[in-house]
This record gives sequence, C-alpha cells and structure tokens, in this order.
Amino acid sequence: MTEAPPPPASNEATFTGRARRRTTRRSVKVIDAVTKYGITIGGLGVVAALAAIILFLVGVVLPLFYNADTDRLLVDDLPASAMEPQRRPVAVALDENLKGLWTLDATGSLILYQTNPGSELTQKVSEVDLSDVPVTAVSESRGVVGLGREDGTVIVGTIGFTLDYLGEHPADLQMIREGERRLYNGGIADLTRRGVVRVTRLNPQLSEPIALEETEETPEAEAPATRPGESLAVEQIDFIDARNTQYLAARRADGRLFWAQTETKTNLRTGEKRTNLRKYELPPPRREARDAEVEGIYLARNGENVYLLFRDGHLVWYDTRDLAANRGSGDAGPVARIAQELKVVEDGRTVSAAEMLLGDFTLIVGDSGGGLAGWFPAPETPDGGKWRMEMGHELAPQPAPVTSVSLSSRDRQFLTGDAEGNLWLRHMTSGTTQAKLELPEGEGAAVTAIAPRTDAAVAIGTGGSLAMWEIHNPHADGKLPQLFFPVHYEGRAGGEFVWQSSAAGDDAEPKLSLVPLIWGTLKATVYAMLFATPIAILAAIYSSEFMQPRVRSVVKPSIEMMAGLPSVVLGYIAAQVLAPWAEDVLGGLLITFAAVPVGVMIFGFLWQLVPPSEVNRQAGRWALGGWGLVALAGLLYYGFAPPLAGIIAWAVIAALLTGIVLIKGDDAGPYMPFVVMGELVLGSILLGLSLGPAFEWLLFGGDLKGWLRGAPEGWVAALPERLQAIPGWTLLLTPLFVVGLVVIFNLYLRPKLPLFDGRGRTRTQLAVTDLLRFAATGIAGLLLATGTGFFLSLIGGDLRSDFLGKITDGTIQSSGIFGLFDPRNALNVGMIMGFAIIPIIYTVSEDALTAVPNTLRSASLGAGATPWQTAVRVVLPVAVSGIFSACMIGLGRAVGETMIVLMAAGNTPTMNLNVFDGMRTLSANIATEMPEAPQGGTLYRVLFLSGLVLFAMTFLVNTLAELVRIRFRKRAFQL
Amino acid sequence: MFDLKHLMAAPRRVLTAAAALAAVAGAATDVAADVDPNLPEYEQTSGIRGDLRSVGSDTLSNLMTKWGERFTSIYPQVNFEAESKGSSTAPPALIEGAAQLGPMSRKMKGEEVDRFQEEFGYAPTLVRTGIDAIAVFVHKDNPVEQLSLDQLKQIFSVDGKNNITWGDVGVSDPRFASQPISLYGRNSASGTYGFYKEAALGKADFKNNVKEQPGSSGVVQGVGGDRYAIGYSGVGYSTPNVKVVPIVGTDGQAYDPLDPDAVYNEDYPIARFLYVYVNKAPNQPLEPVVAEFAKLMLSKEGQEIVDSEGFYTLSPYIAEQEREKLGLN
Repeated sequence: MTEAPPPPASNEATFTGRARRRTTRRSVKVIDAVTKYGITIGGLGVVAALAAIILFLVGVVLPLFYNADTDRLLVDDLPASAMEPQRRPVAVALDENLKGLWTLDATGSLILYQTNPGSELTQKVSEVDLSDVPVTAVSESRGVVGLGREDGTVIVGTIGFTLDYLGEHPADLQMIREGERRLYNGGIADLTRRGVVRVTRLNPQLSEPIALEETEETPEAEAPATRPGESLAVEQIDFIDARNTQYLAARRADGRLFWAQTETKTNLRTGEKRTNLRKYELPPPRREARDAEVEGIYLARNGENVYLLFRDGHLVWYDTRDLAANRGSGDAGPVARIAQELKVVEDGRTVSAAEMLLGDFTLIVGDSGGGLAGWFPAPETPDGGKWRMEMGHELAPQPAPVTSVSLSSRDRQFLTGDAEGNLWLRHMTSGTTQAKLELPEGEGAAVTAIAPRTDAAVAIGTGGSLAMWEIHNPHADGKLPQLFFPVHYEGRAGGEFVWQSSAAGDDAEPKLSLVPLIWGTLKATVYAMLFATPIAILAAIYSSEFMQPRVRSVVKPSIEMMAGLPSVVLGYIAAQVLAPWAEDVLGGLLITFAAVPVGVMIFGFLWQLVPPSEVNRQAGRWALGGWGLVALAGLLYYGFAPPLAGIIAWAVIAALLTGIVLIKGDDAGPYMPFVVMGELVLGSILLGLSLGPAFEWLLFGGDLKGWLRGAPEGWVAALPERLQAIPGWTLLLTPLFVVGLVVIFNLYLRPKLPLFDGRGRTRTQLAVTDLLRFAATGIAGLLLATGTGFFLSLIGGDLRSDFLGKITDGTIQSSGIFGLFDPRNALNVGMIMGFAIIPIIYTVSEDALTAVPNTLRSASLGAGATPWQTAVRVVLPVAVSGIFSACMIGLGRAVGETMIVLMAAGNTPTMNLNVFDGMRTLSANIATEMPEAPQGGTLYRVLFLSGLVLFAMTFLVNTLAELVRIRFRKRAFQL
Repeated sequence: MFDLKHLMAAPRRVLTAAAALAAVAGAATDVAADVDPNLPEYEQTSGIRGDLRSVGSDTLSNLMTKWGERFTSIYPQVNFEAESKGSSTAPPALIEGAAQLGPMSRKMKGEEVDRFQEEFGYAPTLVRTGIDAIAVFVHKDNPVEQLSLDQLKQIFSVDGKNNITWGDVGVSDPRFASQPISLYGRNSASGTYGFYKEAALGKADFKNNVKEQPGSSGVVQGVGGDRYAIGYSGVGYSTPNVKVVPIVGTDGQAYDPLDPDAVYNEDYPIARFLYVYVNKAPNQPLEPVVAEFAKLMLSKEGQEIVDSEGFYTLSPYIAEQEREKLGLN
C-alpha cells in the first residue's frame, strides 16, 4: 500500500525541469483496480472455500443425528383360518425386497403371503409343512429356526427366500409393470428396476431329524433315566448357525437339557465334507427351580453359554465353554457347569418375552410389568476377575406387558411389542427408543419381525390383523451418547470409552467413542511439545542473541530444511529405527535427557576456570581435542565392538575438518563455539547412553522394564512393595527440584550470600565456587526428590498406577506417567514429532527475537548487563508474543500430524498418560479407517465427525493463542 | 473441487510402497504346494479389447496387478487399471460401474449387498480366487511351540486378562515367561481384522492395546522388531525375523499354516478365501473382457500367480464351481 502523493502545489516547472504529471496514469489505476478486486475476490474465495469445507463436513455428519423415520405401508387381516388356536403364527419374517412374508405356526406349517404396500391385500401364496411329526417347540430368530418335536427329535435350519430371474417374460407375465406383484408358480413375481422379471419363493432348508438322546460322552449309567410315562417331547429349543459350526440347545418335557454341536470341515481339494456331531447333557437346575414353568432356553455366541429362563424370572446360566472347545480334564470328557443362578425380573412380575440380541451375547428380557432389560455376562472389574450376569442396559418400560421381541439383522436395534399393541423400536447399545409404532385398534402384538435390511417391520396382532411399516434409521449407532459418553458394552465391566469400529461383520457391536481418540491426540501433542519447545526456544535464543551472524546465516536455513523432511520418512524412522533402538537403550536414553544439559553446564563452569586471554588463543586446540573426548565417550558406549573403528574414523575426519576448515592460525574461527557445542552435546549423549546400565542399576535395581511392569529386580525388589515406587518419583522429581532450587537460589539467596559476592575475589575462585554450587544443587535436588518420593510412596502414590490396575482398560487407565513398556510409545512419538515441529517453532521464535529493536539490546548492554541478562530479561519479554505464536503453530502442526503417529504410535486407542505406551490420534484414525469405511455408512460419517472435532480443537487452540498473543503484544508495544 | 477420499488414501499408498520395499528385502515365503496340474490351461481367444478396472482390497493388490499384467500381455488392446485402497472401496465401485472387478479379502457385508441389490435387483457374484491362511507370528527367538484358539483369545481379546505374559500361555523359558506379550494386528476396518476376530477370537473384542498396523507387512515388521511380540497376518508375509506358530484346532491337534494339508483339510482354523466380486446379471453372459479375465484367474496360469504371491491355490473342483457360477463353461 502506498500513500497518495501530496497534490502538486502549482503548474510551475519543478527543479528537475520535467513537468510533473498531475493525474495518475491510467495503467496505474487499472492495475490498482485489478489488484484491489483481485485481492478481494481471492480473500473472499479463501473464506468461501473454508466455509464450503465446513459446510461439507457438517453436511456429511448431520445425518448421523437424524431421528428414525417410519411410515405405515400396509394394514390387513390374516385369513380367518390362520387364526385358529393351533394355527396362530408363532413366527413371521419379511423377504429382503419386501415382496412377501412368511408365517410359521405352532404345528410347523409355513405359509408364504404376498404383501402389497399401499393396498389392503395380503394373499396366501404357498404353504408347506416342515415336519411330519407333531411340532412341540419352535424357535425362530432372523430366519434361523429350530423345531422341537413330540418324539424327542429336533430339526434345525434356515427359512429363507430364493430369487429366480427369468430370462424372458413368460406369457402370463407379459404385462407386469414395475412395482406390481403377481403370483407365479408358487412364488411372487415382480419387475426389477432393470426390467427383469424376478420370482421370490420360499426356501426352507432344514436338517434331517436329530435325536437328542444318545449322548456319546455321558455313560448310560450316569444319565438320569427317563421316568416312565413322561413325554419325550421337546419343549424349548434354540439354534445358532455360525460359519462352520452349528449349535443346538433343547429342553425336553421330562426336564432334561441337551447341548449339541455340529462342526463341518470341507476338504478343499476334493470338496468332501466331514461332519462332526457332539452331544452332551447339561446338569439339571436346582430342585425348586425345576418345577417352575420354563419361558425358554437360549444359546449364546459360539455355544459358550446356555441360559435357561423360567417364567418366574429365575435364570440359570450354564457355562458350556468346555463343551464348545471340546476340552475335558483328564480322562473325563468336557463337562458343563452352572455358572450362576439369579433372578432377572422384579418381584411380583413374570417373564413375558425373551430373545438373544444380534451377536448372541445379550439376553433381552421383557416382563409382565412392561420392563425391559439386556443381560449379559461381564467381569466384575475391568481387570477381569469373576464373571457374572449383569443387567447391562435397562430400557424405558413399555406401558403394558412385553409380548414380543424381534431383531434387526444389521445392527443392535430390536422391536418390542406389548399387550396393548405398542411397538417400540429400540437400540440396545445406547439403550434408547428410536421410534414408536402402534398396531391398529389396540390389538396386542403377537409376533413381530424386522425386515432383513432393517428397512421395514411387520407385526401380527392377537386379533389377526397384520401391519407393516417402512423404517429409515441407518445410523442407529452413531448417536451422541455413544460418541462422547461412557457406554456399557457387552462383556465389559461398566461404562467405558472404547473405539473399536469393527466393520467386518454386521453382528459386532460397534464401539465408536471419540474420547480415546481425542485423548490420544492430546497425549501425542503434549509429549511432542514437552520435547520440542525447550529445545526450539533455547536454540532460537542462542542463534539470535549469541551466534555470529555468519554462522547463523548457515545454521538457520539448515534447521528450516529439517521442516522439509516428509513426515512419512520420520514416521518410518520412528517405527523401524528409533523404536527398537530406544527399547534396547531405554535407561541410557532417559539419563541422556539429563546428561546433555548437565554436561553442557559442567563444561560451562569449567570454561570459566580458563583465563579469558587463553580462551580465544586456545579455542582451536580445544575444538580439536573435543573430538578426542567424543571418541572416548563413543568408546565407552560401544566398547571394543566393531563400531570402534568407525568411531575412530569419524573422530579423525571430524577433527581434520575442524582443523582445516575452521581454524585460521591460532585464531578461533566463527564456527568454533558451534563446533565445541556440537562436540559437547554429542559427547554428553554418548556418555549418557554408556551410563545407562549403571543408572538402571542404581535407580531401578537393574531392570527398568521389569520395574515398569511391577516386577523389579535387584535392590528395588528387596524393598517393601509400596516403597518400590520411589525410583519413579526420583526420576520425575529430580529435574524439577534442581530447576526449582536454581531459580530460588538466584532470585533470593545469591544477593544475600557474601560467598557469591564477586568483589575482592579472583575469577578462578568465583568459578570454583560456581562449580561447587552447581554440584551441591544437583545433589540436593536428588536427595530432596528421593525424600519426597519416599513420603509420596508411603501414602500410596505410584506413578505406575496404570499397571497396578487402579483404573484400567478403556476408561482413564492411569494417573501415572509410567507404566507397562510398549515399544511403540509416546516417548518415541514425542521425540520424532518433536523433531518435526522444532524447525517451525525455532524459526518463528528466532524471527520474533531478531525483530526486537537493537536499541533495547544496546541500552541493556550499555547499562552493564551481561549478554545473558540482556537476552533473558530484555529481549525475551519483548519477543514473547512471537514465541508464543511459534509454539501455537507448532502445536497446530502436532495436533494434525498424521503419518508419524500412524506409523510410530501403535494406534492403540487407550486412555492413559503412560509415556511408555502408545495412543491413537484422531488424524491417524481417519487415515487408517477411511479407506475401508463404506461411503455414507455410520463409520464414514463418524470419521468425518472426528475430522470436525479435530478442526474444532485446532480452532479453539488458535483462537486462544491469538487472544493471548494480542495481550502480550500490547504489552510489548508499551515498551 | 477437492477429493477428500483421495487425500485420505494417499498416505496409505506410500505406506504400501514402503511395505513393498520391505517385502522385497525380506523375500516372501513360498507357502503353497505346487499348483494342481488338473487346473485348465488358459486358452487365448481373439477380439478382446476395452477397459478393465479393478477397485478393492489391498490384500489382493499384488495379485490383481500381476493378473492384470499377464492379461494385458495376452491382450495388448485391453487397458487394465487396478486401484487397491481397501475392501470397502469395491462395492461402491461395482455399484457405480466404476469397476468391473471388486477384489475383497472378506465377504460383502449385508449393507453392501443391499445397496448393490437396490441398484441392480440381483446380488453381486462372488468368485473365490485363492486361499489365504492367516498365520500367527512371534519373534524368531520366541520358544513358544504352539497356541490354542483359546490361548489366542486370552492373548488378543478382552476376555483374557490385561498384561498377559508369555508365562501365562505356557512358555517356561525364563527370558520370556515374565514378559508381557506385545500385541500387533491389522487396523479395525480391514477384512483380515474382522476375519481373525471371528475365526480366532470367537467374535470377542480385541484388547485396546493391540497395535494396529495399516498393512499386512507392517504387522510382520512390527513383530520382527519386538522380541515379546505376537501378531497375525497372511502367512505369505513371513520374514526371517519372525516365526510362524502352529495353532491347535478344535480336535486338539496343532496345525501349521505352512502345511498345505492342514489348510486344504480346513483343519487349520484361520484360513479364508480371497474373493473377487463381479457384477453378473442372471441369465446373461459376462462382458467378454471380464469373462476372459475370470477365466485367467481360475486357470492354471492364474493360479501360478496366486502361488507366487504366497497364497494357497484353488483346487480344480472349486475353480470348476466358480466357472460354472460365472457361466464360463
């Protein structure tokens, strides 16, 4: 922006002799206008693009929170013949295209009806009898049926639909229109969207009768003999059809319980099938329970549990895991045992409906008071312990006794009907009611079903009416309570935050809590900032205030080039190089964090001992000699192993380069301090690493990882268990105490102690005092930290509380920053991600420091302040706003960083502070899961939501940062 | 304006490249027995031209590329392209017609089949093209001899205790017994993850300290670099740094995924088919270019490629069934 030139005073010729033009040239105006509008358009474009991105994100996310949409498709009455006492339907199901439905009655008769949404016409299409022997028990869930029969045998299988596509339109279907249905050859014909005639037919696939009796594993003598005259009829049955295995549980009229498993293996070379049928009898329940009326028998996933539920609410839980795994103790075959007996309904109520939820883990129990709950086994504590039945979810009660429960095949939704005809669509994981439907004329619900695609529901009333609804509720799983609040998942102890979005099967319970991901993002960011900020800011102060400008002009661009390293490369290094190495030298690595600053400090104090006149003259030799020290430290670390030759070679090369390139005669070159610093840092690192084992022995009894997992060795193991926590406190507190002591000393003690008064003392004397003071501070810090650690341990404080299992798995695991060691951990991520953000923080801070006017420095130095005092007390406060923004820019980069955490952090969605454990961040999660999330699905939208959360986080951080920065800047300008 | 999905997928591709490099260094193990000589030879026809696109699983990524290379070398006028971002990208591509081939390392989920049916009125056709045995890997120094499915469940799933050690699953070697087991696995949206969860863990949830790697070779690399680790991945990804652990089946015997008999008899409990989904309208022949490609996949030549990629080949009877299904006879 240029200011307008002052208007010329008159028409007179100017001193240069050239007439001054009074008007702005046209071209300038044009350029001005173009620039003005161009910039405006560009700026608005940026704003618009940002807005568009946000709108797009919100647009993708919003459908997650839509309510269920329902619409009644059809109301009709079943034929009167279908409502005769023995012929009443006990099960109903829809086909996936909603063209037909079948009903199954208590005699095993299966009827196919055609449904015509919009009109009131339900036509019977075909009828089959599934059993030639009278049926006494029927179990049906999502088309999987088990029929128990009077003769003590069962038949099991599935009732599905087949679709036949007709190549040519048969003569009597010539005129069929889209949406129309016609009866055709025992099936329902309709036209697909592509104009092909499709015929839907019933397809019951049932096994041969299976006898329950001859249990191979139970010797005849032990089996309780059937009392004469008692019926063998099967009264309750349940059947599960899994991948290669089928499970069956049944109860006979004589009270005997059976469990059977069929495993089918196919020879993939010949196609030959081998089937292995195993049958066992379950022990009888307690005597008093045996006489009560039984509601049903229910099989859990993998046949591992069997639930026998009595009408009075008494539940007997059989643990049949040994049967399923074919695992006997000694010579005896596998045995089932009763794991627990309990009551699952309130006193005074009876069980009126029950069903296993999709996934066969949760038992849904509805009672005569309308109460509804989901029961499943869960461990007592998150750490394990005894498993017991728990009421995982208690749902809103129906106004009348629950009479039917039917399941969705796609998610954790289910439909409950009651005696007054209310049909509520529920969602178990969130325990919510998603939609409410009503049968016409207040008829009670007899049987209900949800369509295979969960896009419709059907209900048959006690009076024979039939109603069908369309349901649209694709994101039952992505609601706010599941995303941000603890949820009680199947088989888990209590409410937890879990991310486990299994997309591979429909029957897995999706666990979509964003909380562990947000936690992981913050954890990675915090550790990276802890590592990067001090290094970057100190480096910036050094290079702007102390480094020779010539050196700086080389150093600064070199550090900026670090920012150009692709984060994939860094991630790869972190995962494949740093992680295994850090695991090997863990103790040494930790001590190195202390060794580098301590080494530099000691060198500084020693340097003071050298007369100033000597410093410059001898610097070149010092620098040369320094490489010798580095080589020596390297030798200490690597020993005489093969790297020895390498170390020596490098030291010689480095020394030669130092000598040739940097030293001009006896004079120290401009790079000299820099070289010396490099040597120091390198030497300290090597020294620290070589001290690792000694440090591990001294502090942790020789095995740091053992100590981390609560199994220390050496002298630590000899301590009482409580006091074994001391080393952790010492490790954490020593640096804090040392820094604290130094600050307190310099602020309060130094001015008062005559010992540190420089007057009348030689430089050497003062230097020695300083060195001794430093050593004393270090030792005092160590002792104080250990002492504090002792008291904290006595009162039960332990930085490894994660391992000790105070709060675990899924929830906030640890109040401690130490815990079980995992090679993919926050320490590595912190170091490598720190490395990635150092250049940004450094370069922006450096610019801020350099921008401080030199007048301030001159004034300070002129008043007698040392360069260090000038830097810390004058320059730094002025530049603090810039440094703060630098940190925030670094923070922003760390929050959004993907590849490093993706590759190095292990992607474990845990929630702890443990520096030796990994995490999963929002961004890494999006990167891993997005490619396999079905477009428009719940996971897809939840991932976009997590992107939005990430955006909100950075937005919040940046806004706060900006506010703080502006405050600081105002203050700086007042100077 | 901007293609978010593409952006998301970009790092993944780089990963795959890195993984491929590592795989070259480690040399994939040749697991399968020889290709069955009874498989039909591929017979070349004429007049095959046009575009052929494949979108889907990254497990089948190399396989699709190799088949494609072979196919285009036979029919130079065919323009073959393969994209391998993940199994879940296959169904949308098939539905939109963006691809004729949809390689998947798992079966389509109900929801995905629903969408396909909504569009076409019939279900997609699944073609089995090979067998992938999922191996359980430990570090090469680990003395563990075998593990049962129940032990795998204890190790990997929330049903087992936290911080389970090698001693808990029967390792007596003092160097390992007290060490906690370090867990590696695939990312939760991959087909392998879901299959392992179902076949090995009885559908129980994974512990949340399973380190999820975005690629199959990432798991093996992780295990190879971590002494106390265990992980699962396709057996073909084995490297010299890891050891394959035999798994005890339901009949009480240990089976090795490197043993073809164990896999072909379905005794090895965690093996699965590799699928390629195609859109075949009932009563209509496949598009010629797709039909020829399917013939190639199911021929002896195509199965030799399956073998070279570290998977088990189809036996002639399955290849025959698949050809029948596609109306290729």
